[in-house]
Amino acid sequence: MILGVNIGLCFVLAIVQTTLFPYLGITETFYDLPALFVLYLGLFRSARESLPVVVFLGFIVDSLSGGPFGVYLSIYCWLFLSVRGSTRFLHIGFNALLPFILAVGVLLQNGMELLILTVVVPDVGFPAIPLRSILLRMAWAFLTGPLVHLAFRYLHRKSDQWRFQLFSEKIV
Amino acid sequence: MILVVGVILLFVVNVILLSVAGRSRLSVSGPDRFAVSMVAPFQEVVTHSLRFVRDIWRSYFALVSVAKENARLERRLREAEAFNHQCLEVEKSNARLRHLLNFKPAHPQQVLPAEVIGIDPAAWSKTIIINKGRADGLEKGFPVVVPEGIVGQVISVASRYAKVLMIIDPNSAVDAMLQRNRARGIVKGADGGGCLFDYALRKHEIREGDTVISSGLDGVFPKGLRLGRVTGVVKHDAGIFQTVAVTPFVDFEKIEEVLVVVTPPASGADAEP
Repeated sequence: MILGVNIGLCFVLAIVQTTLFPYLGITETFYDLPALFVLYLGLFRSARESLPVVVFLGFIVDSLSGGPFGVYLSIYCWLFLSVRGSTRFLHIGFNALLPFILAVGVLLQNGMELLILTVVVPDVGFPAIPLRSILLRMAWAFLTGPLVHLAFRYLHRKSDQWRFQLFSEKIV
Repeated sequence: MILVVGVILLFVVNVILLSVAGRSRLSVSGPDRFAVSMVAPFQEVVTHSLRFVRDIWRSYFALVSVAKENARLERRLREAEAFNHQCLEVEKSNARLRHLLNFKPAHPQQVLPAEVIGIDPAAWSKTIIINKGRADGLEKGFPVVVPEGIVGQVISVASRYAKVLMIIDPNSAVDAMLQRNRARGIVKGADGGGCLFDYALRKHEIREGDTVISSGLDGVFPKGLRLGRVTGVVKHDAGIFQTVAVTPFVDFEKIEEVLVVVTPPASGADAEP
């Protein structure tokens, strides 16, 4: 059940990123929504549950992008691993820390994007992502990221409850 | 220790795979097409819903400036009718002259209208997804245009959807020339949503405001389609080329419908004897 919810979320996020954001003209200034979901998975969900979802999300976004295949897959996987690693020493239960973690996560994602496209796939050329755009994305992540995380958490909590209810009914 | 070695190994494998993927950037695999086919129907629904809401807003709530807009459009229509009359005269004399010189007639282009249903999630890559695919007769390499000019070319085709590489993508190149003096060059995508008119020789006099059109010599785009307007010229002290900045006629931010040319020219010189 939780896998179904996660797959559905992957589709919704990819569609929002490729239809609603360009329509509103905020692709350059707003953060990558799927990346925020990866940060959420890394911070709050188990690796066993999250890793297939991260790979699937990377595959979907790579398929919709015209760039070299694997760029988003790599970025999301390394982002997930970095956040997962940071949970060893970060107190993620402390809510006031979350906006800062998300802003740094968005910075990390943009940094990886620049690194991959400049060093690993130089044929594509240095992407023109101005510093202003990166700062705006971080600011948006700082301000709205925790709310989006709340929505993710709510969906997962509901899904866990349904699963628990189904499981209890079967036992009874 | 094992973890560190594992991470390094993973990193090396990742770099190698990405380098290989980077070389074959535009070749698309089966799973990729499958993913596009899965997501594109939902993109289509969302795009249609967004346009529906926008159209309601435009049709019923934003009528304040319609009278003013109507007067302006009527004036432009009169101007266009006058210009159209001149064009008809030129076309007739052109046909007579071609007949005199025994030139073959240019092939009429067959076009297929399509809707833009998705835009590239990456800010550094400029592609769009349209709602026509192999089932509609589309193939890789077909040119995509709008009345304002060239949009790009089809780079991958699924059964009912296709991905189009726009001319503002750094990976795109169109053989082009200036309409005024026929100076040739290659229009390439540049940063910031513009283009560059590359390989234009220094000896050619290029002015700001010149119109750049397709030359037809790349065998992809029909000859004479508008690409953009020259907005900057830099003649370097050394070198045989000059740097020419071009602003495309097409507004890629607001593009909603496109036309796919389904009978692309075999060669740009098809109209010559």
